[in-house]
Amino acid sequence: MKQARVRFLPGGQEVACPSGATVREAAALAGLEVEGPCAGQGTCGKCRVRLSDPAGEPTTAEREHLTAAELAHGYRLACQVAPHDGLVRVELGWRTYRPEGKVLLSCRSGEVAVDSGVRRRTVELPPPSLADQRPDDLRLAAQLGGGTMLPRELLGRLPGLLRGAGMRLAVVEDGRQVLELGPPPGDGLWGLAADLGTTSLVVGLFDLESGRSLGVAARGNPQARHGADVLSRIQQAGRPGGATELRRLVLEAVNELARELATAAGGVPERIFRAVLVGNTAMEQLFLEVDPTPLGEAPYVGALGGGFSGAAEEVGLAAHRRARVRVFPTVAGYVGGDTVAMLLAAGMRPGSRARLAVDVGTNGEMALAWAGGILTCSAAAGPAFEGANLRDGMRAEPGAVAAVRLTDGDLSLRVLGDVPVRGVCGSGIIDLLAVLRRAGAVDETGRLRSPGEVRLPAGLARRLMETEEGRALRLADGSVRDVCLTQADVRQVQLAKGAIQAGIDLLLREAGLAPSDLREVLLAGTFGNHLDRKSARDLGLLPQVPLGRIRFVGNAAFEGARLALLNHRMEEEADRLARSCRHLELSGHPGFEEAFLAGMAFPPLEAGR
Amino acid sequence: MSVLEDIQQGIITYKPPLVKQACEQAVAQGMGPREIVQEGLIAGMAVVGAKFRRNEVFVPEVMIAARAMHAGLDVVKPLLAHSEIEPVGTVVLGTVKGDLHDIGKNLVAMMLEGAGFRVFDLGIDTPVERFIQAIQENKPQIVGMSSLITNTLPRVGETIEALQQAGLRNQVKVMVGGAPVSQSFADQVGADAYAADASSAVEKAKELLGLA
Repeated sequence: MKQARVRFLPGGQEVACPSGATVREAAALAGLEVEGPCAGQGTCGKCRVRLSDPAGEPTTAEREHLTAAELAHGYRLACQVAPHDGLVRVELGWRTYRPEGKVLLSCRSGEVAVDSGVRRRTVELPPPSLADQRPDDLRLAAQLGGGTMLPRELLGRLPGLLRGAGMRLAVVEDGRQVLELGPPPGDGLWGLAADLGTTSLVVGLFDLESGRSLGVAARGNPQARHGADVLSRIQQAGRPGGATELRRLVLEAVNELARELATAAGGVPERIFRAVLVGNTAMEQLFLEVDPTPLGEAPYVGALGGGFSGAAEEVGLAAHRRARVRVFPTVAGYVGGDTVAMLLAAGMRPGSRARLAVDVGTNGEMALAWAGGILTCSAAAGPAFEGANLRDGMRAEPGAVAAVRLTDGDLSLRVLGDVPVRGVCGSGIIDLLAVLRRAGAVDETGRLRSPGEVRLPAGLARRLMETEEGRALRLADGSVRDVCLTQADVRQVQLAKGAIQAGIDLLLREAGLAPSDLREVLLAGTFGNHLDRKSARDLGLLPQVPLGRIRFVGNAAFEGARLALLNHRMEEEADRLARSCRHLELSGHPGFEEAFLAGMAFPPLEAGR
Repeated sequence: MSVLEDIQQGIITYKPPLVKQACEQAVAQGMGPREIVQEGLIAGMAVVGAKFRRNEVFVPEVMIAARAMHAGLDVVKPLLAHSEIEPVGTVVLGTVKGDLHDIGKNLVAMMLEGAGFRVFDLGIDTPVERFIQAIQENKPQIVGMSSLITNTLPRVGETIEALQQAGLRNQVKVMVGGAPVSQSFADQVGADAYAADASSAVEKAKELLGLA
């Protein structure tokens, strides 16, 4: 058997494909990431590619996910198919090709009183003499004030420094800890804030004295090659060498971003004297290589209730070696430091104004603050809002339908980027279902109605069709494959929505509140970026409150990290918040099944208007 | 409309009180429990099951339909004790150790009951020993295992392995299901069948017993 060569289109990268290697593995050799939320296990069907010369019989997984027509046209799953010989062209298409995007973001953030606790000053010491024989350490301590702690390494350099620099020293301190001593260095003390998301990493560089943002950068979390969701990462961490590899991936990516930001700001990462990192419990544990395996099974207990604080050198972070790195405290196995950061950024505290904060993701986190305290819960929504288990679902990338309106009796679609429709992202599917609900094409139980049983606008009626797998709605035509919303897709959304709605419902019930008692509903996370408030509320994903009470707070986790970085009292507040949250566990909760079942239905059309 | 049709309609339109009332009426008319169960309750659930398979109805409706069926069964149960209704088969069912997901497994249990199976539901977070004990006590033809998260998937294989060790593997057919489970996974762990949803679970169970 000859070795195959694989050429990937549209990029044209070419690699030799080791015998027996799959297209997915070959893509990795070519430096390409093929999308696959299941990390190549053949269960998600998302790594659909088209081969010029499909080799061998389709596997069971391929038969499960591809139609006969698609197989006949050379469509296969990248994680299953292994090219055998000759040159094989592989079309990745937009849906599967995800370049390791690096996005520079502008930082949207509120005011904060800057008081990081990190400061620098220049001290001038009186020179020693026979009349003043104070030892060097006491001589310095007299200038710095009582209780200052000097690390061994700096103490070792002190005699030389004092005599070389003419008794003038620049001192960088974090509280009472001296971080650096020396001849006055370049200007500026920097700090790093980071949100370690399961999907993306966001890192920001800040001036610790002015609070000014020096740049924010984001990229996909490279751990994604071991699965899109937290659970597959936890599983990977349990394999030999897995935890070390996962830590290396995330650490290198964060360090790379830190170095880029530092370079762009005209300096080196060694000027970073403080870092605050937040993430969900599993991401924080993976970052520190604290075995996350117990999070994968009931009773889902994590190891970082108090978070972590340690030197950058120990953590491996690209920063000044003695910079203090703070990883946020967590509330529960699935309510992590990112949720605590969200609470901090949103100013959630017990009070008479009841407020709800929701972060909708594969795992939805919810927090309710009211006069009785703060309650949190988490609900597994699954990846429907990220498109992973929908026929034509996709992330908010070029070609995704991101918004839908009903215009002149037909759907009008807003598509991201200047490319044909390739699928639907989370906000698009919410909009689409809300439009279909209002038009009567979907009933309260989530069933797509037939044109025969209800009068639908003509354009909408034309899009409905009956297929082998049930009713479907065509969004766009394709040569081999149309872009559709299927009845099964609606069911997936109902499951995801039902979980979130059940969580909110049980929090309210536990607190003895009704939805109308909520003065504010905050929606955090990237999902909120394109989401239409009205659509989300009308489908029941958000509680039935006046639209004016629903507010998007963007990446609140990152904002919380920034606040704690720039003001040490905010960091202490985060600790208080984490300790004061009461967690409501939904697994095995006696009311969950009923709430979940009720949450799958769509609210009646009159509701909330 | 006959009283049997009333029972079916009560299930198909999700009205537990109607089913209860119609069953009471059927009993009063002197109809045998076997007929009420087979031609009324099970026939009604079969209609709901077929709709579920076509995605026309969803989990909440099936749950209510199953409750309606149980409302009818409660009426007939006292009479069943005196008659000889053989279940079409016996199934022991549980969510594997470490996994607390309940609903999908409950749905499978209800659909199986609706199709005339006797079901022993071991609940969630089921240790291997519980499976073994339940098999020894209840002598099922089929054991069903559910795992809803990838992290507890290995428990499925381990449980099957333990059945082998206990010398019980040849006495039962093993069915597996749950979100991360696939046919290829089922083949890999040596299960006899994989069902993608509650409705196909019934079909597969019947196939395994040579009834379909």
